[in-house]
Amino acid sequence: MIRFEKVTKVYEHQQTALDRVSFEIAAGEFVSIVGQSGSGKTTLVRLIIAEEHPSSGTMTIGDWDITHIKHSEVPTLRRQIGVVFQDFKLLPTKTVFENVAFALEVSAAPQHVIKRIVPKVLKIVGLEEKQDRFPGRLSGGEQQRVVIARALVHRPKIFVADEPTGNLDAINADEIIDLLKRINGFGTTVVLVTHNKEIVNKLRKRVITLDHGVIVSDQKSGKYLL
Amino acid sequence: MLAFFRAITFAAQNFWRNIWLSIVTVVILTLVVFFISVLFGVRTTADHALADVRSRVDISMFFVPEATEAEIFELQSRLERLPEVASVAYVSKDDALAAFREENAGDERIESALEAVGVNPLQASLVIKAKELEQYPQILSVVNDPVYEKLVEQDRAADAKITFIQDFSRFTRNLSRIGLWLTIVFSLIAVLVVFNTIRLTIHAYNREISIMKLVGASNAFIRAPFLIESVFYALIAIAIALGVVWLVLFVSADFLDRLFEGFDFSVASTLWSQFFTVFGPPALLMLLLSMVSSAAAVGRYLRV
Ligand SMILES: Nc1ncnc2c1ncn2[C@@H]1O[C@H](COP(=O)(O)OP(=O)(O)OP(=O)(O)O)[C@@H](O)[C@H]1O
Ligand SMILES: [Mg+2]
Repeated sequence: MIRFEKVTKVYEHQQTALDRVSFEIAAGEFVSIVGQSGSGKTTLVRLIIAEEHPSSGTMTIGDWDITHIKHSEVPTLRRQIGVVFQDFKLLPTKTVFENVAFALEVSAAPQHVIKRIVPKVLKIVGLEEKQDRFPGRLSGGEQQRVVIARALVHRPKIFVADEPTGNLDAINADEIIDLLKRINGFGTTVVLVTHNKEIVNKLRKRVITLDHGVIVSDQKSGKYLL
Repeated sequence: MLAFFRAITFAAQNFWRNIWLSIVTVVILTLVVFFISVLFGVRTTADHALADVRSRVDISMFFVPEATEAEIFELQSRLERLPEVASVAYVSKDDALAAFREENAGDERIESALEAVGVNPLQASLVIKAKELEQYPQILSVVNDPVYEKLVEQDRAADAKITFIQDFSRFTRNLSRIGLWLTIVFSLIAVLVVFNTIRLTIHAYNREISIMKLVGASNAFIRAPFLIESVFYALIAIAIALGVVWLVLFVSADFLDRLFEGFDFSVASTLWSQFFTVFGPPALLMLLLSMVSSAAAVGRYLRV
């Protein structure tokens, strides 16, 4: 599903964020990516959604070689990948429903599709009761669930979450992880970037560990090493 | 189609969310469109006035009393053959006298003076119209031929007339040059204002834009609202400015006609009948500039 082959990313000023990284993630897998701060985890996520481009190496998503993806094809790629970042970006002037609908509106989905899909994804994240609230009146965990719902509207084949629990307490964090497991249960490939040792150890799923831009371990049912 | 409709809705939201910025932008654009339209209007009026004056210029060649009609007709046909000449009309002594009498009809003293003289004191003449103002000296040089020299006395006012027209056309040329520079300066102001407004709007919509990118909105869809927003600004400004121009023309029609008394055209009705040919170009210019500068702002500040 996701294949990296000797992918290197060098930022300006010779800052090497990833150094010849190779791995393959199969369809339906749940993979955690761990590593210390600055080890290149976010860079990896940004490469997957083509927000950054590799300096060398090849990347494929499914059968699609996105190494030199065209500018105009990026939106198509992004509709196949749901992404969630640590700093949940919700629109404070829109309700929960409108925030989720926004993702469909801007992709030119017709109104009847919006009316059908939004309640569905809100139900998946367990917020159907709170769809008319504004984000300011939701807990951090609930806000993050809205962001996840929004990332699901295009029924992505891949779901990438970069420290989705970073700002949350343990209970809210657990809820988010459960949600990711549910999403994985639908057959969606999930890539979870995290700092959280307990979460990784509890998951008992595949763990890829990065250190200074290099993969130092890749375990089938891993533990947090560092 | 749906995407286009949504883009318009988004543009309208941009417009309302920064309503004060939108108002300021529209006001400035309106002033710019208004001033440029006035410049275009003045220019058109000056062009008409000049054409009017030019078309009415002619030069008379007066003949000494001894000149025979045969000689005069010969000169006439010679002049008519010149490519620079538009028309040559013969005014005989009798025609001249009749015209003179008509002009001074009822003036006893002139009547009695004419009686006293006994013979027709007026001269026969040829009234020459050139195709171009600049060609008069050349046409008149024909008379330098010794055959005609002794027959002809030239129009004493001719030089003054020609100089006046040349000054007047230089004046209108300068007027259009100044107009052009002012148009450029005003356009530049409009460009900067729209650029800055769109830049600020993009800034205000940072969050929306990054969400749109993340959820896979197409690049065109992310950009379109900002371009449409600038079209809104331009269209509103054009509508207001041209409405005001129309109103000003309506109110001052009589005044303008008095100002241009003696000219063969009415300023207000000329501008009205050519409203869109005169004021369409500045309006279109503004629409275009507005779109170009918002496209520039989008290209510069909206990295998609
Ligand atoms: N846009 C950029 N320009 C230059 N260097 C960058 C850029 N983004 C990241 N880096 C550098 O690349 C390296 C990897 O950064 P990255 O954000 O991928 O780390 P990370 O593992 O996500 O860290 P964290 O756990 O703190 O989020 C770091 O040394 C960082 O300073
Ligand atoms: Mg990071």
